[in-house]
Amino acid sequence: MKAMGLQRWLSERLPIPPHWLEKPLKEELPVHLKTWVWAFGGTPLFFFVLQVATGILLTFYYVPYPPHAYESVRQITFGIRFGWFIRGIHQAASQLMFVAVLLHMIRVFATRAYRGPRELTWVFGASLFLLTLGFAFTGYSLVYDQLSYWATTVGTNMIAELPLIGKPMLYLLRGGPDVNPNTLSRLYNFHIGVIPTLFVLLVGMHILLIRLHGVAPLEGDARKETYRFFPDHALREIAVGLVALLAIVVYVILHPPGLGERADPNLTPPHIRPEWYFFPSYRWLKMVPLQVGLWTSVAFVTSMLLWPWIDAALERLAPGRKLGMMIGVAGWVFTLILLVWEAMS
Amino acid sequence: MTVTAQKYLVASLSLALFAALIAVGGVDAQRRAQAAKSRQVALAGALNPQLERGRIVFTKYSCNACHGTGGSGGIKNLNAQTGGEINGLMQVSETYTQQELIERIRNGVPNVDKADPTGPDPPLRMPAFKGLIGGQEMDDLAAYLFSLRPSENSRPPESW
Repeated sequence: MKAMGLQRWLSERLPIPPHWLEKPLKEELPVHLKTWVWAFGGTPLFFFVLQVATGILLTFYYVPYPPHAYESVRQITFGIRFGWFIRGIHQAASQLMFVAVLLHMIRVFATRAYRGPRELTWVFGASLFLLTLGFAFTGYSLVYDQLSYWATTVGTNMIAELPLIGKPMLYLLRGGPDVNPNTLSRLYNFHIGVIPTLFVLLVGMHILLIRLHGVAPLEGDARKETYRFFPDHALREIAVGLVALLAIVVYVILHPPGLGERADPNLTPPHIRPEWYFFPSYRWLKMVPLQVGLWTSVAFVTSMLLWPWIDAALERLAPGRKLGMMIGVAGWVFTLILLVWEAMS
Repeated sequence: MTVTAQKYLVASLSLALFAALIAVGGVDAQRRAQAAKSRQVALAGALNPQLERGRIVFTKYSCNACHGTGGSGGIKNLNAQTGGEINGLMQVSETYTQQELIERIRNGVPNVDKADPTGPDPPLRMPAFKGLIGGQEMDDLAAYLFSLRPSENSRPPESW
């Protein structure tokens, strides 16, 4: 009786028609989704929620001010109860979030699910990939040990070389011509304020478009059967999320996070290297003259964002030749080669 | 895979996760025991164990978050009379008696004096640690703060 009363009380104050909530759960999905490969779409979102939860806990102790930043990270890692665990989860989940976004992108690319009228879903998704990189860069900078400090210095130096927007962006990020106390508070602001806000907006648009358009049909699959989102697909997504979480927890238990030497602006460490997800661009920039490297990187990112239209244009140019797929696969393979090359060097 | 099999899978994974989280509790206890042990070793090896204990109290209650590592200087506190930032603690022994310092820590600084009386109130105030720090911890902390001195290099040259 009490439950009924509470339900009535809620429905009077939140007059949401029940079918609004039921519709997404009862949505009929095409049967080709009924494999594990298609259960990775929700994983990046799951990681994002995990990052928000652990990130909020970290902000309770982190001090974004250069004289205290390193000490506060040290306290979190070695002093605060479960601090090592929360920081470890945040660190490991950031890496897996990147992997999850990439796997999801590769799946969408391989099945050409970005074709019209779903181009904007791809654009929002690809922008989320770039924001994930932004999360990773700004988050790594906050640790304020030697590698983190110098990776920030080198990373922001590269931004300065970008045509036209380079210098203003450098000032915006650093709060001055050099890395200074303002830089840390700005990167912190971007990490916990600007980027998450943009991320939530884009995820909202991405999911809204998926709901409006429905799931993209699979090329060459004539089956008409469908199945419900809940419980079948939802359980699969939950299982993938639980496996990921379990893997992260076990990893953090076996490899608790550490901390390098305190950042010293007067002492450049012998080997400065970004995190692994920046390896391809780092290797590329080392291989070619800086300006060439930057321009090609800009072209690469632009073509990634505009890929649905580029692919459609290539299809019109040479119908049935799958030129877009060939160029795309070549791009992915080249990126992978650069990543492995840098990792091995 | 059938829905029932998926339900069993999710249930098994949840149980495994629960077990892993219990293991996390164990690891945390182990790390804390190790940290306590290394603190004891440091205390035993310290020239003055009370100062070492005081240093630990200083970081335990995050005094360093506002007053800087080793009390070297604080973070910005707009329009505070102390140069727009929270004061360092290098000279407390010259401005307070030990009892006055303890009272200051107990009661905090509810109202921070303004540099510009017409300007805004400084946003940061020192909280009262009464009820949080007491007994031996307070004595150790006060002794530690009294031991702080600016390094010789950072002192201005003495005038004759």
